[in-house]
Amino acid sequence: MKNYSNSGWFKNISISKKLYFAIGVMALLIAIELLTLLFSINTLSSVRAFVGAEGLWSKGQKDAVYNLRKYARSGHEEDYEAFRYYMKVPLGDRKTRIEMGKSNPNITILRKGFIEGRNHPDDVDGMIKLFRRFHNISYIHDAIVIWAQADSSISQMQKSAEQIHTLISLSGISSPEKTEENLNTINEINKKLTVLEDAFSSTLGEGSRWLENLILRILLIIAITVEVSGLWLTISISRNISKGIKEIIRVSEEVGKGIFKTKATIYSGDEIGQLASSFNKMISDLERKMLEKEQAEIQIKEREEQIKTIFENAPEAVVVINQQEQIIQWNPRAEAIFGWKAEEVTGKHLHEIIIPHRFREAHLRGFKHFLTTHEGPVLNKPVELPALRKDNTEFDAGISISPTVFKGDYFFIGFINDISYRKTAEKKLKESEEKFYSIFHSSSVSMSIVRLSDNKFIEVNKKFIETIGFTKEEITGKTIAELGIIVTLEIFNDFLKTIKKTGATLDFELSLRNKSGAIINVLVSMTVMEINGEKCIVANYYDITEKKQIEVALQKKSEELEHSNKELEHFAYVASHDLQEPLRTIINYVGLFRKRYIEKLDPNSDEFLNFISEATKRMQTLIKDLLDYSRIGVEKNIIEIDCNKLLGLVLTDMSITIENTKCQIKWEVLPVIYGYQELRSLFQNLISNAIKYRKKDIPCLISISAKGTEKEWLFSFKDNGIGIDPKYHERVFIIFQKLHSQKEYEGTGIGLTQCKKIVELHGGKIWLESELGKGSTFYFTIPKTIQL
Amino acid sequence: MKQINCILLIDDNPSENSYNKILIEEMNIAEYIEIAESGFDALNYLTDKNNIFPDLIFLDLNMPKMNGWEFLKLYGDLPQQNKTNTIVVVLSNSSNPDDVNRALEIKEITNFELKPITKHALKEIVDRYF
Repeated sequence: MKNYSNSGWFKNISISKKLYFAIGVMALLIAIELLTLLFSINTLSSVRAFVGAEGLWSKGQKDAVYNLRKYARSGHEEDYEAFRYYMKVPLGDRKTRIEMGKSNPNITILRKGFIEGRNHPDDVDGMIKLFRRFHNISYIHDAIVIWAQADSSISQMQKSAEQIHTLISLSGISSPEKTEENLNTINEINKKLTVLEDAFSSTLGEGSRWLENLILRILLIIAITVEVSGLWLTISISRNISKGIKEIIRVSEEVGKGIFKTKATIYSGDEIGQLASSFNKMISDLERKMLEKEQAEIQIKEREEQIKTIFENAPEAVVVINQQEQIIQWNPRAEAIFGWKAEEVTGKHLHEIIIPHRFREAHLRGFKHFLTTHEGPVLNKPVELPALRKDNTEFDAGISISPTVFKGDYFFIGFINDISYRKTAEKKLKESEEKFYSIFHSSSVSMSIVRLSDNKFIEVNKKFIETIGFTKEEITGKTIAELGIIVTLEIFNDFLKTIKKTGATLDFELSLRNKSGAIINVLVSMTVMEINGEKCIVANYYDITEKKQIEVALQKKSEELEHSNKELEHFAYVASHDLQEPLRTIINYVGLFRKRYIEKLDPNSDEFLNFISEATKRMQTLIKDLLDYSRIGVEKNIIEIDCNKLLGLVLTDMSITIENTKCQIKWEVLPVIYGYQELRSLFQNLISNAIKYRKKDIPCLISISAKGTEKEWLFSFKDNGIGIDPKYHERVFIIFQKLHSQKEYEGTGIGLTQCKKIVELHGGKIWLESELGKGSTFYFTIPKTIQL
Repeated sequence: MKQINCILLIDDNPSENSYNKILIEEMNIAEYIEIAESGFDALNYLTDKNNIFPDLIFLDLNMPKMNGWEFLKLYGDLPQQNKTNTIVVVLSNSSNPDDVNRALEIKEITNFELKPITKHALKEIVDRYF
């Protein structure tokens, strides 16, 4: 609204004020023009007076000269007086000029001087003003300078006149020569003055022409200004008015076309602007009203749509009939349920369409009864009735009818549902329940049904009765606790809590006591089910008494076995321990015997003694190996093992053997694994085997490597030894099984058996790849995670 | 003068005792070598004031009636002054680490040797303790 305020206050004042303003400006300009005109007339009149004064001045001067000449010839005093009389004109003017030259001239003297110069008193003031105002203007200034020169000549002339007068007064016209001389002087002065007079009037003339010119221009400029500003004001005011009015006309035309978004631009704050603003307000009010009306219409339309949508998409058939029992509304669901299209049934009587023939009479009776008594037993509540389809088939319908009064007439709104599927479902449920009970009763597993709300038995099956020993009558209606068949009631109560929370429990072990007091171990599984509308716990009891007994027996056997294993271990240990002693005694005494008595025996005895001690030593080794074998896995400590360090220790232990046999052993970087300390024996056995069974004719070479898979480590010990025939590959791991005689290769036949036991202790496998004469590779695996 | 005045050998096996006695005699390191065939006999010997109290005892652990462990318990109860300078070395067939550790925890036992004792081992004991 303020957008016009920047374009100037003028726009915002009222139109009448604008007009007053325009006329005021014009009047002011015309007054200025008139004043200027007056001023110029005055000035020009003063110039004219000056020119006139010059004429009087010249005439006075000329007359004075004429009379002086006359005097000079006549010598008459009256001529001289005439001369003096005429001289008063230039002298009066001179007084004014001299007074004018003063800084603070006396007006009276000025006026007196000019009047003496015979000027008209009315002109005098204008002349003084001109003189004072314009003395700096070049023309006036020049004229004054000329005037001053003329005045100086006048003074000379007066002086000469006085000399002539003096001469004549003294001697009369005695010396014509002298007089003639003075007259000549006067003539000279007169001539000069004539020139000055001409110059004066010419200068003033020029000045007056210049002034005329100037004034003419000023007047012209003012006139033009008056014209232009008058024109401009008129145009601008009229244009503003017409612009505002045009805008209002434009907007009113648009509003007439129904365009309410439009707005009249307000160009000014005057009456037109106010009119535009009121117009705008009127439009926006109009628009708001129109909008409100439109919205109200839309809402009504939407509500109608909603009702229509609800009617059309209702999950139930909606049927409306009038007081004449004629169908007036029939929604798509009704079309679907009954098979009749809306246009087919509208206006028809309801009973002809959906009521089975046998009920029609009763229906009509009831209808009439309602209309007279306003009582209807089937109204305002859900009822289940048979209904008829277009194809004459019947179905179970769920119906709810509400009567309503509209403009004094009854209407009946019916909501109808096909509930035949529900009937089927109910039937199926019943069948399924029957099936369930049939399974329940014939089950070979004990089963019971307990009500969830009070924990009381509702139903038990035959097997349950057999197992528990109570009759069905004794059981039903009692809680499990009341029946006293639970040995550990706390555990059972925990089950109940769990099942109430989770809805099912699976395989809980429970001990029951039957009527005769025998303990029955069962696995109980329970499920919460709805039976006959009540939440119940269905439980089955799987009898594990026998299984339990077997389990206990098995546990006992297993303990026995463990015990006997322990004893056996101890036995093996003690036995091998005690077996060592006699062997040592044999060795000791064979040695002692040989030392002390060898000399006294025959040469064969040495060999015999050797056999005894060798056999004994072998027995010692056997026992030691057996002892080691029996001790594998006794220490059950899994430790972290750096296989590189382990190999280093083993090689250090065997350094003498390795050096003697010149075996070369290579290995890749081995992993750090978890295992038992027996791994050391495993490494040692495999390496010592490789060395023991080397080929005598080529350098012995052993390479060891390991690689990891996701679950295990695979180790390989490869040699270039004598190799093993594949048919013996299984046998090498069996205890005391040897492929070579004692003479060929010493050994007890326990080494690889030990290896197998160690690998299996870790849960791994051991095998070999080998052919006779082509070296052997022993592989074994160690799981990354060892099961205890 | 021999390095050791008296050595007591305790073992239920006479052949073991006999062999060890011969070995010691051959090495010529002891003045007297006494033999006890059970822990019981050994205690009797040690408590009889007429006997020479040994400077070195070789004790077998696995003996009938009173075994080595039982003997050591009773030996510990003997008056202190007698055994101040006595070294007890266990001689055993058992390399079972449990046995070795158990033996070395008993303060009366100075050393643990595996059977059979050799001249080399004997020499080492003599050099170290006598």
